[in-house]
Amino acid sequence: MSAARDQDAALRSFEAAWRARPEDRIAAARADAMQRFLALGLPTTRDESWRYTSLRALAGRPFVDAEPAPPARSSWLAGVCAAPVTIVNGRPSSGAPQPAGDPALTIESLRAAIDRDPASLAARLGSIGAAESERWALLNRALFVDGLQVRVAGRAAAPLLIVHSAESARDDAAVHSRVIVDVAAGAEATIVEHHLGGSGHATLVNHATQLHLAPGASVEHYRVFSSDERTTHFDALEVLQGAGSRCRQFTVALGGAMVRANLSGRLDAPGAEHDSYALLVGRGARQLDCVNAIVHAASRTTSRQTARALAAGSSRVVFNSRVLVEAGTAGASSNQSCRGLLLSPTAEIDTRPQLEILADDVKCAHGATTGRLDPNMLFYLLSRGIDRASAQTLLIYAFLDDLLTGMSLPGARRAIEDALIGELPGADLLRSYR
Amino acid sequence: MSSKAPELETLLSRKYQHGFVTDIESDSLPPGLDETTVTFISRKKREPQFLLDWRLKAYRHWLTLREPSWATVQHPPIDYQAISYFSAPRTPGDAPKSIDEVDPKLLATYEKLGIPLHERARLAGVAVDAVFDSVSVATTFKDKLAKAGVIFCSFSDAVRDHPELIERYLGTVVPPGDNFFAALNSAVFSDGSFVYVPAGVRCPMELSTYFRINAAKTGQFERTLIVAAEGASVSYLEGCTAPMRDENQLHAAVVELIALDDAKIKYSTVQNWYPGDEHGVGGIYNFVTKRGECRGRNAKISWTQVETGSAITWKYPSCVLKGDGSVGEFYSVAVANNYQQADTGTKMIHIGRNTKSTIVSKGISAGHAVNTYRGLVKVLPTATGARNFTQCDSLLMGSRCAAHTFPYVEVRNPDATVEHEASTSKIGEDQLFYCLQRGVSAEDAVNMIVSGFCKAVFKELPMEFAVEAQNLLSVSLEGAVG
Amino acid sequence: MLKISQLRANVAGRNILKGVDLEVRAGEVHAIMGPNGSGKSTLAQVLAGREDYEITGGSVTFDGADLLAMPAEERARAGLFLGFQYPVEIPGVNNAYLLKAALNAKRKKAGLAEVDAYEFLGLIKAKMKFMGMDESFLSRGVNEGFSGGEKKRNEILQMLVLEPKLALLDETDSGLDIDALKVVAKGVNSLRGADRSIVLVTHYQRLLGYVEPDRVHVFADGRILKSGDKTLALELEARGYDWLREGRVA
Ligand SMILES: Nc1ncnc2c1ncn2[C@@H]1O[C@H](COP(=O)(O)OP(=O)(O)O)[C@@H](O)[C@H]1O
Ligand SMILES: [Mg+2]
Repeated sequence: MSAARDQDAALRSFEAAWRARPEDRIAAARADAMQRFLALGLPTTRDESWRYTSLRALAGRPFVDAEPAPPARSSWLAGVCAAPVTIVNGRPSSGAPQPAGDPALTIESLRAAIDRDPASLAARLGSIGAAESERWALLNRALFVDGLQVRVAGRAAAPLLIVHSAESARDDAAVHSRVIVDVAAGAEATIVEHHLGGSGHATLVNHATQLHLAPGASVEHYRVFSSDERTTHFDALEVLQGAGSRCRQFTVALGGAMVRANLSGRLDAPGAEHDSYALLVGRGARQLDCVNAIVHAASRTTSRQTARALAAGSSRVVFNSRVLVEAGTAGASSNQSCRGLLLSPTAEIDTRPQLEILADDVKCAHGATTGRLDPNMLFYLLSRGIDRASAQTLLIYAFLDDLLTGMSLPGARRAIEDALIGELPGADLLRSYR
Repeated sequence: MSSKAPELETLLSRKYQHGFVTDIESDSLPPGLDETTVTFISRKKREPQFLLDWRLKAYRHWLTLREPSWATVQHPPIDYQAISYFSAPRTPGDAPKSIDEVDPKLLATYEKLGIPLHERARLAGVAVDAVFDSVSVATTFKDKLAKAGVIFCSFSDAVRDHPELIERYLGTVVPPGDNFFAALNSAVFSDGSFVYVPAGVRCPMELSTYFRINAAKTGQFERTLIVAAEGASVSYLEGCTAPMRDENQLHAAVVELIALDDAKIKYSTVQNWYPGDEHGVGGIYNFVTKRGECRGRNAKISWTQVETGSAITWKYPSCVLKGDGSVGEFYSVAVANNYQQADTGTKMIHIGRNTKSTIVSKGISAGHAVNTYRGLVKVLPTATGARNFTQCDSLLMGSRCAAHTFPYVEVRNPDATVEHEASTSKIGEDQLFYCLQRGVSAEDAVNMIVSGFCKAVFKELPMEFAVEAQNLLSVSLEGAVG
Repeated sequence: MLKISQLRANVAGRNILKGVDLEVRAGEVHAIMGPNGSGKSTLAQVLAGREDYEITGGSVTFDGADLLAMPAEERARAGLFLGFQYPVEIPGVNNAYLLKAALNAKRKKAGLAEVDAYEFLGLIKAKMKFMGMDESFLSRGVNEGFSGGEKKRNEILQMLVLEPKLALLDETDSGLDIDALKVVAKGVNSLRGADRSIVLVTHYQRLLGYVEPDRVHVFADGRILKSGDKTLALELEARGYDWLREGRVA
């Protein structure tokens, strides 16, 4: 290990935490991940997928594992599901409750799953994303304390809400948790993950979700970040899609000091379809870095990535989306669209829509715009007597809300809109508007 | 597509027309690079001390740099000690005073390449500063230009005759330490072109330079510097061809453009270096740094390039838009066939208020080639009212080629508008079929479709070169579809 | 009502309005005709308060007040309405909401209470019926996905709801079929009254057949070239604009 890395307090503290853990039945897989993580080190802005997010300050701080804690808050998304599962500091509170009367869903804690069948669980932990951008997922594999394993066998009767809550009274707590979802052939589910919390302390949350869709499976997945202004999220979402499967994914970032949200999708068999949507609301000094990578590994696969980014205050919002069409495939189709709205002279929006095409029978497109509110729209509203502040508020809201229209869960949409309004100037006006 | 269409592979197998070697004794340095090499070049060219110091500084900086590596560009490591850094054609006395003094063999070479050197030549009205290997051998139309006050000469002549201009502008757009290849060029450049258009002058003709790499294992390191003073305008065309060789040859040029208030510079390139054969053997490594700076208000710099040659192209003609209201443009067609790798694009850096940039990039990949667009649009907080529009499209022919698009869009001013659009698709089968059904041959149909695809770029080229570029394109892609 | 003197304006650094003089009194209907690109829309947008158009000279009073000193929203509240030649689509901003907010902004200025939702709905539905518009338009985004004719009808609907003192209708009749034209004319005529004025920018005599103007102006090259009564419109229809321009040169 180089001398520079020895200066790396965070890295060393992660290694120390790993050494201090009692060995569990997947210790070998964890050790392998930890060695690879240590060899790579923490990313710096010289790494391509980290060029806009500096971890320099974070890397110099040591972290300790967050202690178990009781649930301290409820989710504003609670309305979408009768029996949410709450995970506090990475551990399901009160075991893992079985949502009442839904034979399509089986839920157990990851701890239980490790004890029951360590071999198959260990085999499941590999990451499909590029190691460079997925370093936190690697660390997560080494250090996740617990989480959920969810199996969807048929058509789930109701959405499943998983509330991830970070509760610590220290400024150096780190939470490592994981959720693994298997959706059987032809099964259907809606899964909402809500990350909230931080008790005014500088908590680091390193979470990973793996979503595996068997042929013909269909999933709508939400991950919503609404933590306080001192919480840092590293979130890795992996989606592996079988033949003819469909995935709709919504990433909504409305909180946190920093959210790095990775999405690695692999369309592994013919006919798989993937839609992802990212709503990124930057204000204050927030740093949002959304990194999508979709691999078209089979023929007739389709992906669409859509993002709306808002940057106010001194925030920085990054949308990095990559599409890779592998050689030997035919009929891949992809579209990436990112629209950014910059509201402040000290904010920044960085967009990188990348295409890597290794086959010829493709139709791929991307579009990105960054700018201010459309002056023609603004003038139209003014010319009808609407005051300037209201007109701006309305246009900002309309710009962002457009992304949410694709949500098929009305309760989730409504709640997310409410939370979004709370993040925008002119909240009263927008409430009256709805 | 119908199975009756001609086989792709057979049509792809076109030989490079410009492959021959001229036998002229070179006054070359043995391979190798150290401070002595740098000093030798500078002394040999009787350069003033400031330039030698500048070269040495660049060389020392180069030693600290690492060769850039992009995942999408691959080549065996280059041995910089195996390259000969100076090669001048031996002519009686020093540089030829007029075209009559030029070695007739050399002129014949140009003849074969179709480069018009004589005033009677096809491109009458175009001044040619021909560079054979590294040293400028003939310049025409000097009188007419001189009358207008335009300086157009080899870089060596400029160093001798206008050292104050060189000292003032050299390296101010591409600093010697800018990147690995720019630093190398700054240390060892042997010649190139210099243009100075004084305030208020419209350059009375298109300026043009043809480059050609000839001697084996000779790296070519040209340096081009174009300055357009207040209100001046100039259009410059650069064309390149290299003979066939098995060893890869390095070409690391630097081009700097400077436009002051209300000045306009249009720089067009038709690049047709030897691309290697159909198995990817040989060919030029074209690692070029091109950058223009709109230093004054309402200045405009426009890059147009048609890139069909080279084994590897690594080139990002860029614009630094400093002056308020200044304009940058980049129009590019890049064709990669067989085992070619093209990694090209642009950077538009918006610094001044109300600066505008336009990027139109058309990439065509065939065979086993890899064609990459890599571009940056950066709007700094000072660039209130800045606008950019980018369109970048890729066309794929054949299932083993690759097309990549890597744009970076960084916006830090809330009063800017940046739009980026891109698409990648294979050549339209319905369009092809339509043409075939009308009795057009597959090859003609491809040509028609491809030139339609590239139209937005070709129309930016000076008239006489647009035709040439179009021909070059169809030759490069001969049989790329079946 | 409206008095424009020697108004000059630039668009994107180019001089477009080159000294416009026009007076519109209460109760009058004026028609402005003129070739494409002569600056008619520019005049309308300048009057409505578009910021990126630079005023370089002249003055405009509206009901005695300095119109050019007011921001766009104040002009609207003071009773000036612009029917856009190209109404912009605003996805996500609800049509009904815009109408209600605009109406309330105006009422607030006049010291009136806001309309309640029930009252508003009654009012709006009646006006929509009058304009032959389907109620489903209410819940859509402003002009979002509307056809050309639907957009123009929507402009007139807004005008009827806001009951302006001065309506500037910029080519509201362009691109309408004959039935739609009649509906638009009906809307305009219903607004006519002793205390209201209307300025129609149009290319066609057709609309003027339904909405009879008091004055007709020919607009060319950034200014009013000739004014007359309604017979001027008929003459223009028959002879085009060239004879006027030639006459001016001579
Ligand atoms: N935003 C703009 N930028 C540049 N020129 C404009 C703009 N808007 C209008 N113009 C120009 O101003 C002139 C007048 O346009 P306009 O007022 O629309 O004419 P009209 O309505 O009489 O057809 C035209 O030449 C038009 O091209
Ligand atoms: Mg008009």
